[in-house]
Amino acid sequence: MIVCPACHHRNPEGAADCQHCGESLAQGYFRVCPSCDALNPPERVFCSRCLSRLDAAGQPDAPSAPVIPSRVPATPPQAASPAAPVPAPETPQIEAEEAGDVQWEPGIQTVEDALRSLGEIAEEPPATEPQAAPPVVLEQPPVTPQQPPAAPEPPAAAQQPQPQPTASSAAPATAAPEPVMRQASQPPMPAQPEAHQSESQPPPAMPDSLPAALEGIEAVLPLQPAVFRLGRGLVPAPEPPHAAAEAADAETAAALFHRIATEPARLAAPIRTVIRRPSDRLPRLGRTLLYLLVLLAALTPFFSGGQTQSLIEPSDAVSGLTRVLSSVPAGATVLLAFDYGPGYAGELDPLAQAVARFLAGRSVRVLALTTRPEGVGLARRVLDAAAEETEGYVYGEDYAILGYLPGDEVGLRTLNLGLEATFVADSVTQTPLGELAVTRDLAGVESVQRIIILADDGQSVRRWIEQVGSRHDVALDALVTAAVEPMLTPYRQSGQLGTLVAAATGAAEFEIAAGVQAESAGAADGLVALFLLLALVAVFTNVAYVVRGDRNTPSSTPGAHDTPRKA
Amino acid sequence: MLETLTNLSNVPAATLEWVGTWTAALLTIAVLSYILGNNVFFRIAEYLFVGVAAGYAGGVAWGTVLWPRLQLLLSDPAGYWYYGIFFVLGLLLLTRGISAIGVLGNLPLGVLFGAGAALALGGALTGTFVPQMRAAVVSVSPEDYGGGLLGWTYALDALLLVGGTLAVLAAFHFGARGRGTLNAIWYWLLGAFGKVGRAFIMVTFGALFAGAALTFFTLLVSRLSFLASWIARLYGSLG
Repeated sequence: MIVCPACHHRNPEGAADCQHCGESLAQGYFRVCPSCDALNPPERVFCSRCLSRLDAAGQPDAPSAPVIPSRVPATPPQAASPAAPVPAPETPQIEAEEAGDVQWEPGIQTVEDALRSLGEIAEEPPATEPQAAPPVVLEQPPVTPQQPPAAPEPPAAAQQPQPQPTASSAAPATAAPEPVMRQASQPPMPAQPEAHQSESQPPPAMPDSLPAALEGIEAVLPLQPAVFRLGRGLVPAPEPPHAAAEAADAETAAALFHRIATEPARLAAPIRTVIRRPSDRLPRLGRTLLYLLVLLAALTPFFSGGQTQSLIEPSDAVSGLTRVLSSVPAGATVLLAFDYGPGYAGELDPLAQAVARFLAGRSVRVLALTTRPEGVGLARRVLDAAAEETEGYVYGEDYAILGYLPGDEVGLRTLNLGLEATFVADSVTQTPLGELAVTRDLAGVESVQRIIILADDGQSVRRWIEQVGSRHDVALDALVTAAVEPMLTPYRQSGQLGTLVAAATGAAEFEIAAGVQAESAGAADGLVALFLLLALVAVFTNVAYVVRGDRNTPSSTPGAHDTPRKA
Repeated sequence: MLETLTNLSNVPAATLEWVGTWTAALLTIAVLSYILGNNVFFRIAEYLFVGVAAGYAGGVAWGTVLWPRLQLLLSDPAGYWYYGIFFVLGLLLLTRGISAIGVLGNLPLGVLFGAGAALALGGALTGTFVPQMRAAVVSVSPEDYGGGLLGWTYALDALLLVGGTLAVLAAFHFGARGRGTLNAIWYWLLGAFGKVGRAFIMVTFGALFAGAALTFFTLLVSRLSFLASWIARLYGSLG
């Protein structure tokens, strides 16, 4: 069977061209995989589709991969003109369409190739009754006239078969061709003129004197039976010692690759993977319970009625803030920076309101500004509420909202130029600062007693410290959220911040310390409930951890000891 | 429409407060509905917050920053000519949106970034780096704190401050081990100190996390308190 290399149509033996596409079948041959019937190039050891070994080595029972040779095109050799000398052939070609005969193919260039092909032939079952293995003789390849690549069509007279000198009859005149082994019982095929001539002649015997090119082939001959037994796939042809070693290495590497590529994935050592049934009911229940408890703690202020107020004691920071604000004389000016947004107003507003009420009650003038646009509205709400609660505390005379100061570092630095250079007018009445009583006598930042920064991020406080606090001898106090308080603690320890208060707990503490109206005590009840809840959860989870143990640790994971260790 | 908006000041304050309270309550519920998953009410509230915040910021910037200065420039160009430069730079910044003349916006951007970076760097050096370095140089001798148990307590606190600072600095040291015995000892010391520094960092992270949890819990209490007061007011109005 000849497989067309173009359309893969399987043509019967002897077909010169593909019966399906008309393509010439003289181009190479294919090896059919015994497992998946895929066609593979002749040099392949393993099937390109299923990685099965094509010669079925290591699988004694497996059929070997048949080699489907292509036939040599039956192009008759063009006879040279009588005057022209007969050139030596570049590639001896003998077409042998009878089953099992050896053909000269483009890939056959050496004796080893010929031996491989012979091995393939030997595997073919005998067509008729078994006969004894015919002796193998060496026949010198026929010498055909060299055909120019683009030779014009020869005349009709020149197409007559010309006697072709055979290897046994005459040695080539120019170059000695490669020898080829041929079964003695099968004469060369008459497809070519030289075959016609040899058909009528008896099989040539080994000549007494071989040309020099045949030297060394005698060492191959004793291996011939072994070659035939190995099958026709890949026959380890006798090679020189170094070539044989390379071939053995390649064979070993190929076998190793095949084993790695085809073996099922497995680990170096068995590891028992314990997949426990997902038992997330308890964590889910625990999370739900925790959510409910947090919600319950948050709802505590609605029915506690400020019962925990007696438990609240002002911290040192809050006591310090109360002390420094109490030291501000009446009529002095304090600058309030509302550097927070509505998102954190729930935490900072109570403390801001308490401080504003405290300052208003002491007749301390307050100027408010912000480096965030949202802070304008928050400042107005807080100060207006304090003014409503304090009799005689009037906007423009006792307090004013300067407005939004853009530019971050640049904006804060402009405060060094003076308030009137920074703010053209206040943001509420749009009155020039020179006309407001509360700002008329102020030259700049250095004229205020203290700067109190209400911020929800540490960067805002750092800007005030770096751009204003480090350039003016003015005290800075920071009232911030509990989230940013730890980040600003170094500034308090270095003395760059006079006081640092976390608003979450500081509001209720300041109300108690300053003696202002307590409006944050209810929220303090919720915080107390939350602290108790967190303490209980911490104790419970630690006890549960000790009792149950962590079953996810490697030391307690079943099968963990099976983990392979490095040698 | 404009007349209606300008007449908002004539609306009674109680009405405005009622509208504001209801809007805030409904939006609070919409935000809290996220606990049931992402839904259309949460998205509406989210978009409203973003849009209103941007619009409010723009309005504040125009009303308190740009418009007063523009009035000064128009009323007295000779006296306030420098405001003209700022407005021109601001207009050039708007050209960033037009590809053909967008290169003109590089000038105000350069001024902004250059001045901002210079001030930030200088402020960080003089306001943070040097003062913090100076504050880290403290005595660890109890005698300097009056001696006795209190002196030893302050000395231990100072020792923790110094040791913690050095350990955290060592934790951020990344280098290869050099050759020689001294280099090996130095490498080992840095590694050991770095481990202590990482412990300090973990404690700091724990404090930050606790503070964040406290902040958000306070905000939750604040919102629930607002909703409770709203419900109580609603119940009172119905009853």
